[in-house]
Amino acid sequence: MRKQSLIAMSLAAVLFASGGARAEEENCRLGRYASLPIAFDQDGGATVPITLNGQVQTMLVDTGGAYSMLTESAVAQLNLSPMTSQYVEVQMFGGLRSNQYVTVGSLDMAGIHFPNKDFMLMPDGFMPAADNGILAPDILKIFDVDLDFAAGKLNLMSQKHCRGQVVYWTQDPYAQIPFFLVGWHLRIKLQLDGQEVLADLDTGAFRSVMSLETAKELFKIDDAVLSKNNNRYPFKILSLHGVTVNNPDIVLLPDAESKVLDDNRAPKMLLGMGVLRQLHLYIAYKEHKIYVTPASAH
Amino acid sequence: MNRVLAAALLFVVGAGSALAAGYDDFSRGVNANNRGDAETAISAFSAALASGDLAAAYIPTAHVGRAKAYLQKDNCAEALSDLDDGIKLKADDADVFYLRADAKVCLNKLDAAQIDFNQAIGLRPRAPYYEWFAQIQWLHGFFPQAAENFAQAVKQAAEGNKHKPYILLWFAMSAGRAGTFDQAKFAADVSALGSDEWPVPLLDFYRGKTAVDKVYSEAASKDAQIAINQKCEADFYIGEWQLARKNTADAKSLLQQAVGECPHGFIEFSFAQAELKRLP
Repeated sequence: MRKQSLIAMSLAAVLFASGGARAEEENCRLGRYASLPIAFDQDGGATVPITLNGQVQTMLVDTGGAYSMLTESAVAQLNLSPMTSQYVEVQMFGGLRSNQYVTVGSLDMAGIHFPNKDFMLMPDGFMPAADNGILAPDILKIFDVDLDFAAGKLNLMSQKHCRGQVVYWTQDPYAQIPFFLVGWHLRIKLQLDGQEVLADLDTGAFRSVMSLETAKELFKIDDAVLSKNNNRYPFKILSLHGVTVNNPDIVLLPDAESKVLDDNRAPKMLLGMGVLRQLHLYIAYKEHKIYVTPASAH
Repeated sequence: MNRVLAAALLFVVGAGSALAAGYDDFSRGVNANNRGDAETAISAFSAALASGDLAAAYIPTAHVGRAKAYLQKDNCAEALSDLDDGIKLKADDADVFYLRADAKVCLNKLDAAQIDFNQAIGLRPRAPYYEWFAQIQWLHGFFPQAAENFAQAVKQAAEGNKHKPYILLWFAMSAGRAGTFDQAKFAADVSALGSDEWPVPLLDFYRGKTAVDKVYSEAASKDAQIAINQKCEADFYIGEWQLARKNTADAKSLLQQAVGECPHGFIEFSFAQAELKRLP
């Protein structure tokens, strides 16, 4: 697999060459490259259709991923032959690793075209069978990503706009959540029952997940409380920059099981779709900000 | 006017809204299903469907979500009704045909279930569908049918698919309970895997090549979590092997161990629970 920097450059060149950028920064107008319909898979993950080598594939929108991936079944259906990457190995939730990839000759997303795009290989059984893979930040971060779950739309927006002027869908107040990028992960600080927690905003997680070890340390949770509540802890309030979630549903998982919350560089929590689906999210990658309203705001 | 209020409470997620209440209820239903809270899922999806303002694209999903909750409560007739509505609105979703097959198996309509399953496979010919349908049939005790579909899943699984040994195990389990297990053919299928990595020791046990002690020693690992996971699997699959030979007491003991030790997300955990419920 080619090194990541080369891939990023080739994608950007295609966009501009095709004249896809319609934003007019000087007028503070927002530009939209494409709008994809959102469906929910059986786990409640947001999926969108994209066309690979002429075949429509259902892709999970996964801001918590890094490289876009295709399942073994999808690769077989597309008649592609996996190769071994010299440069890239991805680790998935649970610790499974993959350094296999395929090159798709043609990727089309509602009129946006990418030639020769690499996808990492994901074993079957890792996601609902109806999903063919994940759309990850290697593609997403080229755009601003507007997730309008209530209306069922993923809008891929131009990053060329006036700073802070992106909430086009409502006149009501909105929240601004700053993030920093760790790799391509959207790392945010949130408050959980008064304690600060570093979390990744992860649309690929159908529930929010927290490190059991971190939770025990931060909240002095003992095993008796967990046993009594079927291994769940009754958190009261999760808040992030003006957004409050009462009684948040958070799965506590030992680090040895998740394998992604277990070192110093890792987040201690994945903020998943259980919360995110209730919001309208505009991820402004260049600004390092996420603009948020309730999903139904308009 | 600056609409951002950095420090103040802006909004509470899940508090609901007078506008587009249907989507809020729909989202609540999805979350409830993911938590395994079937009662809340049923009431939330019902409210979403009754709201009149749920986006049209989500209406079939709401019917299917409510059907899944009904299936969790074994209210299979209600589930079937929702799935019929879901398919009328969106007839190209393999998963929905698959779920309807599940509901029909539950209602003992096996022939009708097979028709729906064939429809699902026609839309999306994937090994996982054969495997899942076979597991539904296994759960309801239809072992010959389950063995047939596991055999298809084995054929469909790509070479090198790391999950294929488990599909072979399930085939062996089902064929054993159905009385149709061909040990020689099975041995050939296991050899063709070309691997001795876990769970192949369990497959070697099923083909008569390895003793129980060796399986458990192969299950041990320096990684504590892997050791737990593999012992869980050994307890379940050897328990099922005992059950096929009518050694109910030994089987029960192993299955109870599986329930006690398996990670709750493992299929062996939930299927051991299901098996123990139907044992005397």
